[in-house]
Amino acid sequence: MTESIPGTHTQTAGGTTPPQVKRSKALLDRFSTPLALVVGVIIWEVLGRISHAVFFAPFSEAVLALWRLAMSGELTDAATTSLQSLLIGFTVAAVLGLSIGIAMGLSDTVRHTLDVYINTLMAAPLIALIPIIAIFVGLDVAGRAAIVFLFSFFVITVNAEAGVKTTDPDLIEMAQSFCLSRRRIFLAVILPGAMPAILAGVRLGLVQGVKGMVTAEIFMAITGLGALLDYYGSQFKAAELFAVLLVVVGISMLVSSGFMLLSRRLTRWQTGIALE
Amino acid sequence: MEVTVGPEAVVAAAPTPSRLFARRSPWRSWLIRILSLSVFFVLWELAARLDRTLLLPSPSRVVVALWDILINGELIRAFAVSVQELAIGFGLGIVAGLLIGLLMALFRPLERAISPYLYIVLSVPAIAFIPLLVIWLGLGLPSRVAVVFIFSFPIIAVNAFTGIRGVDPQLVEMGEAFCLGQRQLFWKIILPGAIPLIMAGVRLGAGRAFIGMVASEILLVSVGIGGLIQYYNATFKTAYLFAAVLAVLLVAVALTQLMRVVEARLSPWR
Repeated sequence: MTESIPGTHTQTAGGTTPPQVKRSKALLDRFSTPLALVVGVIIWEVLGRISHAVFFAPFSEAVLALWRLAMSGELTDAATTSLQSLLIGFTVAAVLGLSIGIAMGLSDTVRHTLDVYINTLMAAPLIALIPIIAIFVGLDVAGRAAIVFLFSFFVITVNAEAGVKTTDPDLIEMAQSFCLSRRRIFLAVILPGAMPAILAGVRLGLVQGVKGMVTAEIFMAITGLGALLDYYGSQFKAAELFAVLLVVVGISMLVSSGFMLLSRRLTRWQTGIALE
Repeated sequence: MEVTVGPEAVVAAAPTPSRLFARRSPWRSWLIRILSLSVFFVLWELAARLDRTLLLPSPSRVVVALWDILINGELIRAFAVSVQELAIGFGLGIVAGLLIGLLMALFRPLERAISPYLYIVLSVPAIAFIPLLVIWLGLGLPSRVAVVFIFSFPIIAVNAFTGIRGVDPQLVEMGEAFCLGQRQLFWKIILPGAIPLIMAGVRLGAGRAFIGMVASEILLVSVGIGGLIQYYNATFKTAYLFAAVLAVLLVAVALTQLMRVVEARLSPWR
């Protein structure tokens, strides 16, 4: 290990670095991510050209396939179907999850009644439940939304519960000394304090919901983006497969970072750790 | 995953949201849980009897089915197959994850090059890569191992990287004040400081590896416990289907608890 560990010695020594080095370092930091992505795309293109067409499509072909799919409407159809079930399932999960989670945080009775089920299912591979859902709810929008619901619900509930439970007891005591009603204490002290955890839970719930959406569609292989992945995979059409994969990656990243921006604006005064 | 530990009597003074609205004794929690479970099973039994489609199996039939596949060894055989890809895939995931995390923490250029991709793989549903892996690796053990690897590797790498980077710089400075060399700094200060996050990453990775294992068997090729689920699904043997799913749930919970114990053992000062 000849290189020194970043953060030790060379950097904490407080020595002077010439302004030119500082400037180029700053530039490097700003452009490193786009640069890394560009390099990755170049490698992708090169590898695609070298290797067998069946197994690996170069970046250019994937983009062309993406264009073709978008133009033919196949992609928009699939994406709309996918996002439908995502929206329905996630919304129900958020409403139910927040109410139940907050209730569990506020009341020990509610918590003890439900925590067995929630903790069990939180740790479980939910994909194992999909065959059961498919039998009892079906393979249409209802079934897929139910699966999205399952994936999202527990994360939202657990984080909402944790957010409420870890309210600073000093704040509650202070509110009590002001003779605030229990309802006021909840609205003015507990709820705002729980906001970071609640929002983190909702964001994770959305990410999990996307996972549930793709999982349900690959399993049922009828409609949606997951079905497209399954179809092009079975046809060995690597270019189209990469194209759909790009769309799925794009949606996931948009969902995850979009929500992070939103929650950052809503909770500027606190930081917290979300429970996975 | 309990947030509070120990009898509430100890924290009697401090008002928490739940204490705000009621006062409870510790025995009550278990009583409520048992009551809740009993009601759940009674409702389930009723629903099964009233179900005219005869699809919903009653709890008694599920338990009988579970016992049956346990006794005739089918469940054990299925898990024996599944555990292969889990062990290899997760093992590779730990090794690669720790290695990449460590290298990223040590070499800034590597961090800059890899971290965008790591975060992409972390936020994308790993299951979306399964059709791709099937094209590349076929339908045998290698592709199932690859699936388990892809599920577990990113979180371990990210946690290892964050853990090593996030070591308290004051501790490092203290080590330097004692004239510790780079090697000693690493082994005595940085690595122990990073262990909590590393272990958390391994725990989360284990959960994801298990999910990947089941996913690969349900979607890829029907072997192991996922294959058992698929088989009972296809033949509409709902009692056995429920039994197999229940077995998976129980193993998942046991695995999570095991990982928590291991995590607590390896970072006792937390």
